Amino acid sequence: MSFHLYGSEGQKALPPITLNERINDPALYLPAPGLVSAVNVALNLGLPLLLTGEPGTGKTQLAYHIAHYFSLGEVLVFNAQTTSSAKDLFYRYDALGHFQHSQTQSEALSPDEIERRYVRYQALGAAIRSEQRRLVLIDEIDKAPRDLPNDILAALERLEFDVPEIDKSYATSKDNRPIIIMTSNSEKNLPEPFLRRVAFYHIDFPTAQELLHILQRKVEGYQDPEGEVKLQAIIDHFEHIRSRTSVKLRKDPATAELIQWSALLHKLGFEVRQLSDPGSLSEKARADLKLSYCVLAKNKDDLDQLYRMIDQA
Amino acid sequence: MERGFTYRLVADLIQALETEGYQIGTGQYLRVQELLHQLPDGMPAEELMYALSPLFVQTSQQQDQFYRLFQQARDRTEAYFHAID
Repeated sequence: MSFHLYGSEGQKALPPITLNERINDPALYLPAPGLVSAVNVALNLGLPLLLTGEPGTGKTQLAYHIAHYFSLGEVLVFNAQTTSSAKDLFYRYDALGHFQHSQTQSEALSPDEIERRYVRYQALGAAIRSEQRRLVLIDEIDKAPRDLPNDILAALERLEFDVPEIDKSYATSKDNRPIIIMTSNSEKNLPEPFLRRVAFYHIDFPTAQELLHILQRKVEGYQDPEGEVKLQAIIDHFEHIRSRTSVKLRKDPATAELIQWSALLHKLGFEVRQLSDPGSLSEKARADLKLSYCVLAKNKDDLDQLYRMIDQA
Repeated sequence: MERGFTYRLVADLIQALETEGYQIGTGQYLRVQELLHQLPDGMPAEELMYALSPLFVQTSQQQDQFYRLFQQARDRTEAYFHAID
């Protein structure tokens, strides 16, 4: 399949585009031994697992891997926000919609009908209502108000919640206790009593060897006999960027960006062994490499730095 | 590792953590106790280190420090058992 699908002029039919499904395939996630142990500790002791680490190191992906591993169904995700409250973990009630209905219709709705129309169960609420054990991912808990983490622990101890708007309560058994994975991009802003009551694991940035294993699993196009050499050339260039010797990016690219970049270089047909000597690149190869940096750099300053690095090579 | 070795190692480690300023609460002691009951016999030391760490550490720096303190506690425990053999 050609990389050049879109052009500046003319018109043509959009051909089928085959995306690499391995990139987000939870079965291909590769946890470090320490992370495997941390998951086992959390499961055996019934503790939520709090994960920290640079963005793009696989904190969220772990939740999908665990759900896949134990066949827990779809991961129930709660994206913490600065306005999140304890109730939001369980359900959201569309009070305005219900009010509007009351103003325009004379017949009052039954609790079941109110529930069907105006109550939306959120991650923890859906897990407690579920008949099977579920995995709840509470993403970026550091963004939530300071009370929310402790509210989560209290909810896990009770394993029940009330919906006063419809006068209903839901509960689950200890055997059906949800598995809770929480992620945080920052180690600050979480209350000490909360930190004492969770299992904690920090995902370090992978070593070069671990990156190689990840790319071999996730990226298509490097399965030929020279694939390992090519991937090593990509990793060397990537680590050079992260080493901050010739560029100092405001946001260093992480594993997720490396995976995308490797896949893009393959689609571009870029001869990756040339990465060890950017000074020898042809004009076309130089342009392709610069184009590929759009998945590594996430702002204009960083992109300009990478362009200069190549131009001065 | 034998149970006796594991318990001595963990006791040594907890002492080292407290010396380094870790405030270990009753809940953590109980969870460690519970975990040790559940761990299989003969678990390699590295696996024990990875299993205990999530119960004590709260930051990435503490995680690195914990791994170092564990190795030191392991060395001391080995030396202790060599001495009494």
